[in-house]
Amino acid sequence: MKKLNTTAKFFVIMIISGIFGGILGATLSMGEEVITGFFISLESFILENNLVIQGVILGVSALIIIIMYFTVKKRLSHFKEDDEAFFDSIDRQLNFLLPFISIDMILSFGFFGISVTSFLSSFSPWALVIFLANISFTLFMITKSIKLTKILYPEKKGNPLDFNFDKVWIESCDEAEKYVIYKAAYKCYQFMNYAYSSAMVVSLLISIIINIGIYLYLLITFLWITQTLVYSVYAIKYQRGQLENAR
Amino acid sequence: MALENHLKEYRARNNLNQSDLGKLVGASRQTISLIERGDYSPSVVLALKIAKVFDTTVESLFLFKEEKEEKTL
Repeated sequence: MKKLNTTAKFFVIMIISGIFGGILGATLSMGEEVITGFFISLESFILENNLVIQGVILGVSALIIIIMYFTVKKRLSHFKEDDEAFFDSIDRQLNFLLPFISIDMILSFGFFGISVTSFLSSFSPWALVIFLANISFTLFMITKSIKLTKILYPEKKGNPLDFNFDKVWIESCDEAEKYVIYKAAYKCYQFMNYAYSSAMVVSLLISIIINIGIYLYLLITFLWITQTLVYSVYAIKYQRGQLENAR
Repeated sequence: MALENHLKEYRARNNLNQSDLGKLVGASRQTISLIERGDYSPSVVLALKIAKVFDTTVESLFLFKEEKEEKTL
């Protein structure tokens, strides 16, 4: 009974999604001029003001990172090993700092990519300067933040500037830390499957009204297949008894 | 969570903080904290190591309680 309900639910969702997609597609094609105009204006605005947008967003982001870093550093200078609540609270702050720096680095690549799209017509060397400065800043801050983490967890190993950092770092994690990382990685895998299918649907809808070429589809398809293959290959490998804790 | 534990009491009795216990069993302070809060069930190996530190049995440290499943028709 439960299986039938799940199957019925799946088909109902598929039918509703199909109807919704159809209505959305028809609406988009009817309001083609307005929507095309909006996208062209948005693109022109971003291209014309990319340098300013880049400077402001990366500048604010860098400021937040510096404030977060020094707050944690200051608190760490007063830390006592017996204060467990303090330990947990500072650990939570550190957990926010590293992803924030990574997001800042990803944004740098995004903005630089936008700058390069106008490479032949109006590429500003300042875009390259901001990009290089921000990448250097994020690498520096990642190194400093890892050092802070090592004060809290001296057993952790690895230098973020080393290409083997991820491998060395996870090897220095204990079973619970590995469990947290693996669980988060699986959640990420699940989420990315939705993200790729959503990106494909959004691209299809946009392509109805504006020419986005074939490369976006090729890129999404390539990334989606890569993720599925990597997951499947490692799942088969680990099922064959190559799990680390099985040795 | 189905696994309850008396880790905190044993630790207090032996005058060990989470970091000390972590070092003795080869785990981080964070892991000891997760186990104490019941947010993580340790592996058999880690449970045995912890029991050895306190010179006791795993059963006296960890208590497995079966969760009552809600039966649906």
